[in-house]
Amino acid sequence: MASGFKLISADDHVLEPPDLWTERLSKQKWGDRAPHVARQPGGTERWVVDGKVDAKRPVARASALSADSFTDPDTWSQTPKAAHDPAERLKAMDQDGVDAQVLYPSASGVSGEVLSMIEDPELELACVQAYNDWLLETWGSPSPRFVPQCLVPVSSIGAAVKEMERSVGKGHRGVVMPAAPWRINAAAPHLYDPVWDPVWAKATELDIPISFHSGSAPNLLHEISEGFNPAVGKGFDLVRQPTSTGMVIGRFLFSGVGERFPNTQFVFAAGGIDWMAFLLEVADHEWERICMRGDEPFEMPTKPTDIYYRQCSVTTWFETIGLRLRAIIGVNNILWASEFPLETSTWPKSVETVEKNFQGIPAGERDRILSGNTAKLYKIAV
Amino acid sequence: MGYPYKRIDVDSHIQEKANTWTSRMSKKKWGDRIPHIENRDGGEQWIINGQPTGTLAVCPAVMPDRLTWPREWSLIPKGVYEAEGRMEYMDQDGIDCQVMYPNVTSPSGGRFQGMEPDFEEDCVRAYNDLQTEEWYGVNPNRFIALTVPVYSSIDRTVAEVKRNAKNGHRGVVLVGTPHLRNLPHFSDRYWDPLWETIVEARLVASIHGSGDAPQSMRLEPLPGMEHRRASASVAATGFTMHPQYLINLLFAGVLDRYPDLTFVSAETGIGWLPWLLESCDYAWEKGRLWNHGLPNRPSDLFRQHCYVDFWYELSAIQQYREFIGVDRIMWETDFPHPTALWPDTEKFLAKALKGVPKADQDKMMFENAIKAFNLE
Repeated sequence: MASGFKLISADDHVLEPPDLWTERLSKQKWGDRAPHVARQPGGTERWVVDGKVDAKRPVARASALSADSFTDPDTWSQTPKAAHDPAERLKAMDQDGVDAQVLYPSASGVSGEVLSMIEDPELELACVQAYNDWLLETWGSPSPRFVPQCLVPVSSIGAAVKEMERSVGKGHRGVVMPAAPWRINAAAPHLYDPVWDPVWAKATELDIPISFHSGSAPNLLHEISEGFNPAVGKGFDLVRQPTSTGMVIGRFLFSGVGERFPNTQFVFAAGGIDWMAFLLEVADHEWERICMRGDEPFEMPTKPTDIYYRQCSVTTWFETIGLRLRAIIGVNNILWASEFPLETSTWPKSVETVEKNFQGIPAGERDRILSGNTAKLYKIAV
Repeated sequence: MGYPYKRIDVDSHIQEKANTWTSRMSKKKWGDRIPHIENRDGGEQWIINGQPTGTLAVCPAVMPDRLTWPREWSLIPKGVYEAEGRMEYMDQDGIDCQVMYPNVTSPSGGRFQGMEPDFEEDCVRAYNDLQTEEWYGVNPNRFIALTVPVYSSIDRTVAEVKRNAKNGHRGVVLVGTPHLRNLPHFSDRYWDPLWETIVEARLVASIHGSGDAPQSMRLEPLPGMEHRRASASVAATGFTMHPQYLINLLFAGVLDRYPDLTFVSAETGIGWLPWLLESCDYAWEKGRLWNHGLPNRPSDLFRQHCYVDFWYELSAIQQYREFIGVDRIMWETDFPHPTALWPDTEKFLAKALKGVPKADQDKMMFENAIKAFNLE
């Protein structure tokens, strides 16, 4: 706490090592279908999941640690240790003044969506369980400064509930899910279908938040032209992904899930907040003009922003305007995040960035955004 | 002419008249493929290229319940589809002139794209001529025409834009996702002749709302969801595609390469602009993108080239308009679409402009539009 304020980052990523699944899944049963890393023509390495090469993603997302802070390694062996080694990660956090990190996956998908695409329910579950066990053993146990969140299978709601129970029983503190599982797995129902209610009920019972990370619903995104220079493509990507989160939060507010489960907390990670005041205004406007007309009883008597303020959290990192509009976006609803070690990360200048962006914001409000809200959500001792 | 009301509505919609295409296309050549209205499946609807569209007119704002999309032509108020009647609405709302986007031709003009090239061309020409002859031609001071381009080849695209520029059109309305329509990405040099034509003819390039995006770019409501709840959720999230189009143009270098190109974002609101400006600059700095073919800071490009419109938002106008840039904000009503201000225009404006200095009000309400569309 050298900087005079605590910093808890609500959104950072672990890197799954190449042997995570090959070590933990039965070779005899799954053979090459287990996620593994394979060298591609040209020398770069890529993940291969259930026989499919994940060609668009780098083998390790660790741009923040590269010389130009914008380049991912071509091979696992080139990946800086702070990206994948917990002891080195702690040093990188010390260097950056960050007290704790809430952990999201990488190779599994930023929101688990890569594993959710596995069509075989048994393999999906085996991969999810291997990730959850690995995360606790490797990251959850060594230090209370890491907050582990479990993944769940999306092809079976019964299995998802069981996996939540199992994982949280062992020490996981949150659940990470893709925002539109029905688009990536034929067996997954629409997320707003009440058949998912046991998952929301279980989260309430276990008192843990459910998180959706931006970019987990790929076809909401405008394609990156093949003609783009790679750096420009990456720049475009880091801007387009959060933009698509507006669709995810906006639809969620009208979905009925929040009304049926008013005590469940939902986190919309890596979406930014600069556009959030706009979404909230638009949502209430449309609700008032469309939902509050016609015959009573109204289909949706609850105001979308009441649902939002009560049970939704959003994350911010480099923005300034959203902080200025914090009274609208909700001082209790904003979580600071560093996005380590992705290219957008504020590392290694998190303290500097925070000091600049939070100028003039009362310390009480600042501290809630920088650490208090996240600590409360994940029960982190401060 | 002057602008006695000091209000230019930069996004309003023409409802194409029943004879728009039947009166302008060769019956001998196209027969029943010509867009026309038939009574089918419980009401009148447009049949285009032999296919039923399920839609007759989009004008819920002027219907008694504000929700109905009429299926009987006689129920549609004249001001929806005729210039004379429209001017009465405009006088009621105190509007000097309106920039006209389509309805049946799709709000961003994508309806005929991908159809047989000669058929597409004849349909698009008829639409553009409708604007020239029956709206702009009726009163050039009160209606601003935008051209829907032909897409089947870049030569035809350019030819149609030039033809209409000669007829007084002020801009071109483009689809947002050509790359999802068997056309090159907007970053491709394929489009250069179009950008050149737009600049030479002193037109603006515009994308309207979702840019006629495919359904895949929006989440689908839960099947069977209550009607009003679903409608509101769709309306509240319609803005999330358009920013990506603008970001794409910024990162594609189109605005770097054409310093005189003007780009208009229609029907998108403006409250997301802080995100676009801050995050594009952040990405540009982080990636040192000036080393990768993007010499200009994205927020500078935006402030040199782009205009955005507001209609019912309050907080962006009241609290952070200066960050977006008062010189880049225009005003629209979206008449007669579901979110249109009418008939509460005065009420909305009173709230939005409360306390805003007169000079800023004038810029946003009409002066910026005069500059953007090269009006007199």
